Amino acid sequence: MRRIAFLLPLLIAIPIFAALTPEQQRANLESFDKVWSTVQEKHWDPKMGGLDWQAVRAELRPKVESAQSEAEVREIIGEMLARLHESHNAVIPGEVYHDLANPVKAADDAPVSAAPAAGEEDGTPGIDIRVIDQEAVVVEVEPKSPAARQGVRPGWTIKAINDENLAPALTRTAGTYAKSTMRDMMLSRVVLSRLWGPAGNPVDIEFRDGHDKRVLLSLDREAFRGTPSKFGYLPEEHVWIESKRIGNDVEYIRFNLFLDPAHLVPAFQDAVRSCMSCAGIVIDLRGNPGGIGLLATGIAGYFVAQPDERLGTMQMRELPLKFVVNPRPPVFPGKVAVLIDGLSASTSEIFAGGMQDLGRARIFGTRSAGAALPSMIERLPNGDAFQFAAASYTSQSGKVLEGAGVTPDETKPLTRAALLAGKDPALDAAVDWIRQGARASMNTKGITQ
Amino acid sequence: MKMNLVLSGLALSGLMAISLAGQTAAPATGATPPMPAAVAKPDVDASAAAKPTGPLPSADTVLQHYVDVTGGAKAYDAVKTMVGTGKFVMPAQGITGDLTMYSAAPNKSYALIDIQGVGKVEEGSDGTIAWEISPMTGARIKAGDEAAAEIRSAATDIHTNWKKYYKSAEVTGIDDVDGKPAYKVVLTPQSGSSETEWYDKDSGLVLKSAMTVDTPMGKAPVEIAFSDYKKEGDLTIPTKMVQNVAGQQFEIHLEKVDLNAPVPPNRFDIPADIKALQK
Repeated sequence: MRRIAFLLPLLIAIPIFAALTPEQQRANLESFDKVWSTVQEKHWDPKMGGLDWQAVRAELRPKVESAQSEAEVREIIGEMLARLHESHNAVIPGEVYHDLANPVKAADDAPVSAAPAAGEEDGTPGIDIRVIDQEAVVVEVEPKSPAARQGVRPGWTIKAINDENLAPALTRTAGTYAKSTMRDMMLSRVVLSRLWGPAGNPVDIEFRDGHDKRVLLSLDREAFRGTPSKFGYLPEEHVWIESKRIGNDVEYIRFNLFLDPAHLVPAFQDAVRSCMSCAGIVIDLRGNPGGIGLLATGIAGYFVAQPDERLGTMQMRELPLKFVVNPRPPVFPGKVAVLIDGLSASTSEIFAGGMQDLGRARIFGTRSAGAALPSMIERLPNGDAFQFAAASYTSQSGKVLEGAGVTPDETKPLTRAALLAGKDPALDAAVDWIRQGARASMNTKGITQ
Repeated sequence: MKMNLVLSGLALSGLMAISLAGQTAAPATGATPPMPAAVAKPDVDASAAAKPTGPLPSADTVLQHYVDVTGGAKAYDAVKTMVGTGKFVMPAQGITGDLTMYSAAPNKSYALIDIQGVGKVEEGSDGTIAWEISPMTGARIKAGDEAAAEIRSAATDIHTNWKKYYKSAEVTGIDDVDGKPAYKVVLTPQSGSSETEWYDKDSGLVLKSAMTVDTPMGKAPVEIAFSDYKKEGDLTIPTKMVQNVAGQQFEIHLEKVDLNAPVPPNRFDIPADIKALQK
């Protein structure tokens, strides 16, 4: 999970009132026009649900012409987008845009989700974090990483990175995303964007250990874990998969991205096939931001025996694309548990939501990011950014995942106390569920009963 | 065999919906590389169509003319196998792959595309069963009109013996295809929806085809532009095919085509993953 999650669901109106210069007014009008025309050209529904898009422009553009502040312009553009009644279209204020980017290298014209230049963000100290109760908490330390070598432990908190106190940026971002399913994702981004950097370039971190004692460490950044994989114009990503047996009856599988299927799928298959007589399999998608959407169906094929079952449907401008599952015999007959959290997005949600709808998996953890759609973020002439999703996705039961996320069957949030105690509440609950009762049986659809 | 290589399953699964939070397949800056003019969707303008100066020719005449200008019936009849290699490209996404394709009389086919970042996508038919294997979506046996279309297009005599595969063909007009007047021929197969082909009024070569791909993932219109005709053995064949599937473009560039070349003996056997689905 490197360049995760920059999808922004809400219009954020930061009240900065100042007289606009003619240059700003021109840029605001150009920004309005760019948002309007992008929706006109790329919205997944050419009819926009019957909305008269030309009339919307005619009504709102004069308001931009007479707007007295940047905030007012955002409100007007936000009102235009709100007419679509879709949560995933948004204008991102320039201030928040900067909080989400690495403050050292963020440039005014840098697109949020554009790939960093080679060598810019290719190193990590080996820490994964979540923001829990407004604190950046270490949830994982990669073995043999710089952090592991210096004794960093899960449950420690991070107060500052390179002498920058994290609290202000976390507070701003938490406020901005207070009502968004993507809050956890964006808060993590604030921290990770500061932790990551050029490999070989150390990062200074101020921790609090398990006893809340201040610990200052300078950690090297090393290459990300996994195998580099390149897919089209996506930036190179490191993809990894791991599996282990819990006891002798539960297989645990985790991978960081739905990418590089040529290597990911055989490894996943090996893990499943090594445990065909197990009581269950846990698929841990916490922190997995997605990848190739259709790979969700390919993974589901190991667990769904009935042909023509669907995880859901992506409605694109040109056609509906059904996410049909092709069974991969022999299909695993036991129970399936999927772990998700607020950083599980896109393909992870397509998989988890679809498996939940089919009754083939039980979901543990916390609500996912509600960021299921392929989207783009573009800078606007006035310095803000604009997020736009050019498709709509509904799960098989008709749930719209975007802006809502997948709700676990059993909500099991991660806590600092659990981490310090070496516990994983979601995984523990999943294993307990798998071990409850006799081995599951499947109906004709391959649905666990 | 038709040189359309529709890759029906791949066509739709190619709309692979990059669903990585915060990422798009194309640069998010909006700096999607411009499509080269050569791969742009062929512009068919019926309104600007050349006015027929006389009665339209029969479909039989147009289709026979295509056979004549591309080598003649005798040359087609002499083709028992074909082996082609080339490139698969999705320009807007920056996705590329190596293509290898085989076909053999009467209607066997196999195509392998090794796509960077995805792996090996295979499609084939032994003349009876049409199938697809993808590392993304797994293996599946094609059914219905989708299977019929794939087996039909693999027939080595489809140009010289089209009436065996289509119950009717009709020239419905003359359209302008990228500035060239072209006969529009609507072919109705024995089963499935009709296919439309545009034949250059002057050269007789096929410029474009259009059909509907019907898979479990959905039904999508497909258009294919043919160009870069080259003489391979005794036949003249298009070596560049640009497919437009629901707004996504795929290009196939054939770099080498060998007619009547040896084909590995088990090339058209049903793969084990497909046999597993038959049980």
